[in-house]
Amino acid sequence: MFAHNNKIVDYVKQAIFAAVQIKKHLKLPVTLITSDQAHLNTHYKKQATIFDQVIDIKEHSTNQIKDFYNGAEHKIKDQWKNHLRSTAYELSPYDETIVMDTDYIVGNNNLSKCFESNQDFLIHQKSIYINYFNKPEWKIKYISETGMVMYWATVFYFKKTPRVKHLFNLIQHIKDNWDFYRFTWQIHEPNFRNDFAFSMAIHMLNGHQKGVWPQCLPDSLYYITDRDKADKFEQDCWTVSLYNTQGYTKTLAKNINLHVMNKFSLDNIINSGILK
Amino acid sequence: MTEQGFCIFAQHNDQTDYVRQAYALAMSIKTHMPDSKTCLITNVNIAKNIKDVFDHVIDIPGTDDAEGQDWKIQNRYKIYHATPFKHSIILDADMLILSDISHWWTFLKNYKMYFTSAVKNYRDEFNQNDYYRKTFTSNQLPNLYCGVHYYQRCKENEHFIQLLQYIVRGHSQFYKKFTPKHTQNWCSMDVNVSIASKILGITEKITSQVPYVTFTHMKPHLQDWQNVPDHWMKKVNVYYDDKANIKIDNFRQQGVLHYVENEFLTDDLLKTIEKRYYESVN
Repeated sequence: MFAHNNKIVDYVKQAIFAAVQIKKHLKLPVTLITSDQAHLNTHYKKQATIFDQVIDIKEHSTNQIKDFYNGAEHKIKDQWKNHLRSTAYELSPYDETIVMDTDYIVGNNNLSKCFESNQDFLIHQKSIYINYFNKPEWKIKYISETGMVMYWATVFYFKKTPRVKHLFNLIQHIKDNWDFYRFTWQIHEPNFRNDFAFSMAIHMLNGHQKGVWPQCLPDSLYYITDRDKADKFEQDCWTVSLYNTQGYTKTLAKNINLHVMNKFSLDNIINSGILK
Repeated sequence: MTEQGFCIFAQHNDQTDYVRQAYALAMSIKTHMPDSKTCLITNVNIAKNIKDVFDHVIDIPGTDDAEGQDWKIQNRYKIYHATPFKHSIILDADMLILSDISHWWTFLKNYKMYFTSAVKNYRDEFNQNDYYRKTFTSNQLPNLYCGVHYYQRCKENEHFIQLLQYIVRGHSQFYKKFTPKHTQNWCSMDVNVSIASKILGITEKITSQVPYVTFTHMKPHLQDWQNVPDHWMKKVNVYYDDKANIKIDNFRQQGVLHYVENEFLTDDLLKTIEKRYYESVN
């Protein structure tokens, strides 16, 4: 996992929570790659033992700003530090690695099947928004109106093979030349986004054509957006308030791997749970 | 009679130079499948350099069933009788072959005739969008495309061709009866063959749910865009290298590309196709 704090989101804290869930369900060693090791050691000395390894890296300066929503009503602008995902191949201490966002919370052991696969790279091409009432608004199939199919870099699995090394080199190259690539693919938003860079790199490695590589992870990518709220998490069961034009609808979601995009409500859950 | 080959039908009209398109298509066939035979069926006197690209150039037989029509498709059923091949793949003129499709022959020889029933967009995705096919979906017609089809010269097919001739000549009456909803007021060979197939109850014998024989169809509403322009070339760019390998908006195109819009085949692209063709035959 990668964690780089900004002024409003404590990604290191999220990583601790995510690691607890990984240990519980996947029983895998966890490495944290962070530019905030001092923060980890100062504020979470006791909890930091959940990590088998912490790799300290330099903070990557970025001018990227984005809106962080806390439900539909509140938003705050802050830095978005997502530039180091492309170093996963180089920095991972493992032959086989699952990389995941710190706000992707494991609730079952489905991903352990990755390690039985003969594939060198597995990633989600489809995502499922659990808010049925708002689905059409969040239908994301392509990276742009005319571009290629979207892959989600939220969670992915890789083995260290020459092809995967090429993939990460290419992602790095796309990141380094982001403006060129986003204009080429008619992406309007200026912020670098890993999902887009991964999608472009996969498309290019497939010879600018649809290919049979990579295959999908052995799971579904469920998510709630930052307009929704995560209210409670107990015994691997989420209580979430899903936003729609009439307000919020409460829903339970049990034993799923969930991408919780609302960082603030995730933070509240962590504070009232493992850090209580 | 030659065993197998590709047939292209090009009847002159005032809007589109179908012979020029057929010329590009024939060169693209020979580039990727040098041993293939090609036949142009046309009513146009063509220049020697164009004629030389084809193995056969044949006049459209009989009287002109498309006289006075802008879109001259009424004579297309005659391809079956005109083709010099025992096994023919018939292609629309506004297509290009961008990779070797000779493996199709093995598949197609399992059939007496075959029509494509699923087409792709430039992203290589099959699209179920019925924007252009309301008359098919609302009248339960089989979803057949003539853009790429196959005939074997055999007795079993003659009944179908005869019926097709009746439908072409009386298409208004047939459309009223078989397509009462979203009735088209122009003669369409796709509709004609679908009606013929429905009448004879042979759809399962002349197409397949496995979309092995297919083509990329560039009509704008098939491209899975939210904002659809009237011409696809207004939305995405076309790129090609000196080998006439084509990309549409950074998607490398393979197989059969049905480019639809005449503006696609620029003089420069045609020259590039010519150059690659002469490199491959010399």
